[in-house]
Amino acid sequence: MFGYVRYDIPNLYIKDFMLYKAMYCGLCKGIGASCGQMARVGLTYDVTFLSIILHNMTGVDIRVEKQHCVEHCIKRRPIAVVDDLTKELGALNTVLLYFKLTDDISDGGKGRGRRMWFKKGYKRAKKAYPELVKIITRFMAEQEKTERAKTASPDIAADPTACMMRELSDHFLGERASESTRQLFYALGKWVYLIDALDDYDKDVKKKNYNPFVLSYGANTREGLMKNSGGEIMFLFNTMFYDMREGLGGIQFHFNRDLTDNVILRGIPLETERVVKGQKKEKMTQKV
Amino acid sequence: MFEYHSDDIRFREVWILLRQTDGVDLDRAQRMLDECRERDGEWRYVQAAVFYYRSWFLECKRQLKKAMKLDPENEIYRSAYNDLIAMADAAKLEGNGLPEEKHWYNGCGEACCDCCSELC
Repeated sequence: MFGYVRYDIPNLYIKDFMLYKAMYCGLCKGIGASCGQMARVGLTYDVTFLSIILHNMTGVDIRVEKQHCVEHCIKRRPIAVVDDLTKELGALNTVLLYFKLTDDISDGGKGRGRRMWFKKGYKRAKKAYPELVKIITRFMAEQEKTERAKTASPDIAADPTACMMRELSDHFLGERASESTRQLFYALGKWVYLIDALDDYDKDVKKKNYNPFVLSYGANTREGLMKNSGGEIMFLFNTMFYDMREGLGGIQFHFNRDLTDNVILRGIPLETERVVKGQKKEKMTQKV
Repeated sequence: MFEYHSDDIRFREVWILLRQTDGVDLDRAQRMLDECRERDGEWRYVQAAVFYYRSWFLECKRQLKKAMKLDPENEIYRSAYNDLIAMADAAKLEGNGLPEEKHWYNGCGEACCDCCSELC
């Protein structure tokens, strides 16, 4: 579920790379502020992207300062100063991770120990941001229901997660929410769900886990799936790219949008290509 | 992409709902469609429209294919299908982030790029 929303580094301006790093570190501190220090280990690239795009859409400017942090205690690094939005996104990061680990446990996998690590942070998030946690809880329950019903249609299977992203965007954007923002975030949520399902195809076939692509197409391997039904799979992903572009085109950004454009228009399609080809996930470059 | 083109009164209310500009009640549109027992080409076309507005494009495509199969001469169904395919094709990413380009970038080496990371 996590780690798919990435930038395309060959086409990333250095200014945006530096901004990304500052926001990543800022979110880490935001998690610490809202959910405690232990929850910081759950920091994700995906919520870092949300922090970047939502700060821009809401017109909340970012202040970058050189600060120390737990991992880099000798040399100060440029870090985005934590604001209220970052704290709430820190809570979002922790709650999503907590639910993901709960889901892993239900699938019969390991994770109880790891989930305990985030339990305190989850409780703090629930107390401080009840509305946020209510949205996530509601749609995670719907997602579970959809999967239990063995929904074969990829569109219908991804709908709860897509709707959750759409509703979360409304929550954070408030008056600035529009049909375009809803279109973009719905497509993003749908993509996150389905790219994870595609990436997990072989594992899910082996473990007999729920996977809408397995149920819809029945191929024994991801490679077989792409060979037999690649056209339809790519149609599905291309329509999500279409919705992202259309949504993006109708949104007013308050600041420079090169970084968000890089992630949505390049990073996401490239990550799709990587998963479709069955290539391994590379670590996101933190050094240039 | 989807147009109310026929005098089929079965779906007039559904089209009125789909044409609303202040939030489309897709659940209500779907309930109206579900009440209709006859699943002919026109029903499939209207169902495809509801799926389109939900951003369920794969389901939309499947319904349009069924509509075309039931009514092969219907140009409106075919036109909607072709428009849907063209929409997806237009969003294809081409020529970006080829593995060779990525390796070249990494091969540039840290030495020549370290100065940039010191700028801030």
